[in-house]
Amino acid sequence: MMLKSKTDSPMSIKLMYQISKLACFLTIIFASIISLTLLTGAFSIDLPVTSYLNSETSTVEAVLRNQRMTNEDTYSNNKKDQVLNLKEKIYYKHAILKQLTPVKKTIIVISSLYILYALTLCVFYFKKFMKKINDGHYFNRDTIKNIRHISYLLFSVWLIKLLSSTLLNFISFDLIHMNPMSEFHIANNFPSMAILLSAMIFWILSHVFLHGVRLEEENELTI
Amino acid sequence: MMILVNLDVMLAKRKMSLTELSEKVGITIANLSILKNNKAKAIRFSTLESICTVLECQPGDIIEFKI
Repeated sequence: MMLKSKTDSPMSIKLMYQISKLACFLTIIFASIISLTLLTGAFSIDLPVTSYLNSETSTVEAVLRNQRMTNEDTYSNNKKDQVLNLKEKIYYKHAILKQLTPVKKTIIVISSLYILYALTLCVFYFKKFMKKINDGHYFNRDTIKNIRHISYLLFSVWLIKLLSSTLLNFISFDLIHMNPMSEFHIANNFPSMAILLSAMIFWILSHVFLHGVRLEEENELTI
Repeated sequence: MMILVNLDVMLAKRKMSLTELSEKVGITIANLSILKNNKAKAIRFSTLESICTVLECQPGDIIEFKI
């Protein structure tokens, strides 16, 4: 028996559809602005922030050099040692920003651009999904395709995040500047499990919907 | 190995058209043609009962198991 009842979708779904439309529009604008800024900042124009940091780093460097020269004989002095440590940490932090080699720059730009576009695509697919739901095609193969795309994209985002952070850590790893903070840095930069978890949930949801599609097809072909 | 629906044979025997049957049984022509063309995945007992009542036959006359 055919069950083709064209009922009006509930108010909440209509609202969600409108919100997703707005979110898609805003995300596309936001992504284009961010990507433009990223590309211009990375390859052509030196942003004022980086130039400020460069000057700051050079002054810290000079101070450090002076301190080292004067404090070499009184190295046992505990308080001065602490000050030196603090300054070294600051120097290290700034040095990372200063020493952005082209390889690092490319890794950062490519990974962030990919993540940006993948998330934009996710919002776009969500909008398409909501449109299908709003039209009343709950159990349709096209509806499920959107959810599956979202899950794959989220998983790839997580993978790219993991790869880029490990690559960057691997590149910036050196014995001379090694300090206990670097291990913390690696642990802290581990991509969030929330993305992976949501990707898995979307993937499982797509399978649940697929089962629904099979049931609906069977129901439609039962006379 | 499949179940075949011989609805057209029975209709020819009774000299009845599909439209007539659909009117008498109360099923749309679209659904009846799905049944006739062996595209249906299942058939309700109530539908089978009403078809058998209208065509004055046994379910075995409509449905056949072919190896």
